[in-house]
Amino acid sequence: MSPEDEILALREEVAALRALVGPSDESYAKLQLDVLTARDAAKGAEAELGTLRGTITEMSTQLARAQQSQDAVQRAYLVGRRSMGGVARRFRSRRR
Amino acid sequence: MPRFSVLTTVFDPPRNALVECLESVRQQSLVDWQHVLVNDSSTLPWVAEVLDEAALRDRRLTVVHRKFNGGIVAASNDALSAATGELVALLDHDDVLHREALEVMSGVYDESTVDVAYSDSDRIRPDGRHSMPFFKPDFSPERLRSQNYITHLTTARRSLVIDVGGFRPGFDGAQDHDLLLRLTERARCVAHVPRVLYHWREAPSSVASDPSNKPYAYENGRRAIQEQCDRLDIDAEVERSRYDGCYRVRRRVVGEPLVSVLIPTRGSHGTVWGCERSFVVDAVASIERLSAYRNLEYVVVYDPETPASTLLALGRIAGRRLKLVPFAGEFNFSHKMNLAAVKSIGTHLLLLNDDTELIDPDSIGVLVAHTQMPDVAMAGGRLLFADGTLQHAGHVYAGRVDHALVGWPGEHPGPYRMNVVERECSGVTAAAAVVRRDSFFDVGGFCEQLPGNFNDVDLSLKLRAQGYRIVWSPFASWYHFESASRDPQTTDLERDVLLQRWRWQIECDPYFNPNLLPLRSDWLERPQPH
Repeated sequence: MSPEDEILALREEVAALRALVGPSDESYAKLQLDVLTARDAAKGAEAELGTLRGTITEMSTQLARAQQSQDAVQRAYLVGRRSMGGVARRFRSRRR
Repeated sequence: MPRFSVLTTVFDPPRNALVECLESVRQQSLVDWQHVLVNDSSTLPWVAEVLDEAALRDRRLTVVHRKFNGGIVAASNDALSAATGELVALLDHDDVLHREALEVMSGVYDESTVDVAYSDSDRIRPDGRHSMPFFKPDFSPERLRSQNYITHLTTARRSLVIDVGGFRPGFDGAQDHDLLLRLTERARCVAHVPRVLYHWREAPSSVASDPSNKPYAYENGRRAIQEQCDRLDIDAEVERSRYDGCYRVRRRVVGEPLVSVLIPTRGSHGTVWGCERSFVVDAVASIERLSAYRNLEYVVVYDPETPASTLLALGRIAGRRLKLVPFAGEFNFSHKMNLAAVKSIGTHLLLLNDDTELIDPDSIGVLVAHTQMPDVAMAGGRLLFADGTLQHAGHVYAGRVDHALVGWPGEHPGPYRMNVVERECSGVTAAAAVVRRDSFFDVGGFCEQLPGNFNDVDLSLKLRAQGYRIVWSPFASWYHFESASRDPQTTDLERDVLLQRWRWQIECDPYFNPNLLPLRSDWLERPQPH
């Protein structure tokens, strides 16, 4: 048997064996590619979720800052109202 | 008390702003000062009148009229020449000093070794309200090489300013950054006053309002940093960042020292991005696949339950560069890492958790280059959770141990752009950090009384106590699948050990600021008193 014939026979034997035992090298590579594609898709989806999560975290800080500012304005308003109340009382008592 | 000369160059300012600027100096609580005003040939005729009238009213003002417009550098040098005070303070023609600015700053110079001092600052909006306080860290030379975070209020001994050559022509727009770089190289001590003593006006044409207003300033800033690197023998190329006013110092590694990658593992498996992975195998594989730095050895300390298939896989990936070190005892991260360090031979140690994956190919080189500076013992990188949010951007010790800005978007520049610049910090996580071998052993390695937590905090603080700097870089990055592989609960015993050793340091982080809320890591300001 010539070497070419021998290789051909061996290839046929490999093909027969593969048919017996299950997925071929090609299908394994294809499956692996599918897994990697699915992993990248999952990574992308998780990154999108992360962007949202991160934005929420950052916005929580901004919200806390805004609440602090609101408290400060409220305090300033109350202080102003108290002092204006005093002025109004003095004004009313003078009119009487 | 040393006397201040306040230096102000004037060129066509808004009239009200100039008047407010003059008034803010006149009303200083400290009465003995000199205000040097250099009119750089303003085209508005009233400028000279306003300055001359002010000088007539108050003899503490020195007004110089330039015959020709020479630009900010020439005018600043004229101001410096006319100054007579022992100290100088820089004030822009439309900005405002806090009433106690000079008094507080001059108090800092009572300490005779202080040569440069700066304060916190805020902005004056067009409607006159104050906003955006910038609460700065204490002196951070690495950060100053990445951005002029000091800006205002800058003060210095006049003799030092003259010694370093004053303001340099050719650095217009970045002349203050250039001056600060040269001053801080020579200063015996650089002090920071954590108080807002300077109010920076957001004029429509100013950098405060829009950083893209003076594009030439950023190129000059880049050159100023490059020249500092050349002066200090830092082998690096400075690049402008995509963020105006920020720069990247791209350091080159001297030689190619052997880096030992120390990884403790139990051979754990877990699911990340929908796929089952062997953490340690994938951590090593990611370095082998991506890293531009190749002179590595891997020292993997493994527990008895580590599957044989994991060890075989590691051997296939790393070949003869792999050292497997068995460890049979109770879980003790510190003990395992110390053992790995003893078995390693590299001059630099990459402390690496097994649940990591390399992102940036330059990461190891970036960290090694930093630790080749004699005064930098450890450098850490940016770590991201699997969803891309920030896990680590340096430690913050503000009453407790935190990771700065944990959970923020991974690509967010952060407050004051702190996440896109290299900077000093009090500590970095040992999940991915390079430490110089000699420094690691000098401080006794990891503390084995801290088996699970805070061992990296302790190592960082020991190194800093020896006088070393610790640098964090956004240009070295890994994923860290921490939550997927470990429960980060701390024990009372570990907290006690840490506080016994470092209570003061855990409460006073020099790279944080007392005006920021403690027990948080998001740089939220304390409510300001009215």
